[in-house]
Amino acid sequence: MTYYDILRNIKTVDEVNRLVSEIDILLDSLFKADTNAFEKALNSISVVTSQALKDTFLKNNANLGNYAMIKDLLIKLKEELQKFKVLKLSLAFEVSEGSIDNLFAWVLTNLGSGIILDIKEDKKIIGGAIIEFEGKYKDLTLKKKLEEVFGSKREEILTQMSS
Amino acid sequence: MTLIGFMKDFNYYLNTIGEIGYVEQTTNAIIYASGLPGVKPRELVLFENGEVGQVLSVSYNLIEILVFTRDPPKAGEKVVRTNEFLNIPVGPELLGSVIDSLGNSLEDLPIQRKPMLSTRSVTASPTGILTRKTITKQLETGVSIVDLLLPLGYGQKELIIGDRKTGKTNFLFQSVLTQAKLGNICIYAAIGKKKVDIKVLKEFFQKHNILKNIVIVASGSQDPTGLIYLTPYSAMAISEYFRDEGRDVLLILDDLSTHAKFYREISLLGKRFPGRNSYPGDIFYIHAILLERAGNFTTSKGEKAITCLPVVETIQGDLSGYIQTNLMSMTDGHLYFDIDLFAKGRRPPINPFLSVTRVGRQTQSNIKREISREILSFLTLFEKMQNFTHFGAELNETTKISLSVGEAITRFFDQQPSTSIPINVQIVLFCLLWNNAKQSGSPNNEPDLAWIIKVYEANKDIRKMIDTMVQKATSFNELLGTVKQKGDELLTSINKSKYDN
Repeated sequence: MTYYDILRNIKTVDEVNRLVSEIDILLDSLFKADTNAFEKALNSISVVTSQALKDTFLKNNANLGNYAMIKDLLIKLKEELQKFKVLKLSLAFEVSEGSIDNLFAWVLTNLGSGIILDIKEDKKIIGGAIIEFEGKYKDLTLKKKLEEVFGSKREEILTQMSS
Repeated sequence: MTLIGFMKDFNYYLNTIGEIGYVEQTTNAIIYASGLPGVKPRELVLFENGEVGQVLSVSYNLIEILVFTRDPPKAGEKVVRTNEFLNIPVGPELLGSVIDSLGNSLEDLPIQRKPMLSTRSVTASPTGILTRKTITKQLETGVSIVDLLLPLGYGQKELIIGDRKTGKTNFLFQSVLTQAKLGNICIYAAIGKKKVDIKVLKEFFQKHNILKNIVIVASGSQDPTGLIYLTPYSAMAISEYFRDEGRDVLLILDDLSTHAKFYREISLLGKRFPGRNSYPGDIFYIHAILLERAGNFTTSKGEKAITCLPVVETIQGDLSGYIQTNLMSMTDGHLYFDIDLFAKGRRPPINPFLSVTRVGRQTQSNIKREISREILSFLTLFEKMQNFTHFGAELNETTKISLSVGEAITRFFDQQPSTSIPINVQIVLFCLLWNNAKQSGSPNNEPDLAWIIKVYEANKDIRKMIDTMVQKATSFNELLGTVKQKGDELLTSINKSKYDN
């Protein structure tokens, strides 16, 4: 079985969560009395996901009428989605789609596949980033730098401020 | 300064160690967290809310953490490594205080009179054979039946076993009273006790003016399970500190059956496979590693001992319980508090035939050993004779005398809960009783024990007279002779001081 295309396009934790909830909608529809429920559900989710899933079903020779195989595929896809490693980033600004693409491209090149981003906005850090990956923690923020400076040169700064 | 006082803040550890984890699941005292790739078993971890936990085990993707709070951190909270292990602040300032297993004072007043700068590992491993010495000194408990029949030595581990409400705690109080009066340090670990019991404990020591030699490490039954579990380990760490400071220590662990129950709770919550009576497989290990830390040691300040008296409860006198037999095999004997003897009015109800002391006898002088042997063989005979009386048989004069002497010895061993009898007084009194019994067959002329103890402690001449009598004698018969000669004189002197007062 291959999910390559659909998994390759996932970059963030938010996308994983969205995809998981869409898969849940599809899985629920498989057990409804309405025979067209699955097709209706497939059309109700986002077009991109719907198309990606249709391609996946096609590549795995799964007929849309073969509910047992579809169910198996969707459950396994959900399991695959839980296997991603998460790189957490705390940034001082709201990231654009373009920035996410750039960050993800860097991750893919330097750390390899199977890693997604969890980006949070935290204005308190002023600048720079906090990076968390596989339990490792790096605080590369401007806030920390400033605190270090204020900590080590406290007297000097206070003198200059009072003069 | 408490354990928390010794620790830095969350961000310090986060930035210096550079590892982070997240709480994934909480089940009462146990928390499962992800992350922290470099964490080690037994390492302390710090939660975002300032709570501390100890790593119990590490699996492929989750860490099992024991927390010491009633309100565990919520799922999603951050956790950091500290690269530190559980230590408890120690120092002479602890004497006279009641603390929990993390070193926090349980009283309104702060325990510290000056800052305590040293700490001790709570979960230290027992020291090796090279640091240990043979047990050679007798430990006085102040309880006649124990000191004469079932002697204990400094560094011995003696299990106190019996049903609830059979006077185990009274015996422990008497032992602590005797040892504290001798200037030794006593550490009392009250494990999962009611708050009122902890208060009673302190008040008893306070009343007898011995609190300055005592540290009470207590956990209440309502405390977090993690704290209760740690109590005996913390008490042992404090004992080790005082031992290394050149003091002999008496450590009471009251009681290990409660401790085992709380550890079972932790293990079952931690999804460990339940074994016999649902206890986990490592229940033997967690008690053995604790008790192995007691003993007689060679320290830089000479030969010093941690004498350990763990307590275990039985149910309806059943000695064959799981925890009970485990502890029996780890200790150097046990004192059995018999519920039947308690019902017959014996105080303390220690059954000398079902009790064992493995290393205590080697600490006795020849004369004490002779006395012990004499009493035991007589009591065995007395037990057999008592069985005859059940059949309503007509008894001859000799049997009647033996029975009355036996009853007198039994009475001799009866002791008020808070009295501690010095060992030489016990010996001389026994000789008086024995002489009297052998002579007249009516050993009913019993002296006023409380007064004798008081005089012995206060009057130097009488103390010297009693001590010399025991020390000079080379055999039991010789001592009997001496007591026969000087006994009346001694009793007259004691009575005289009574009337003088």
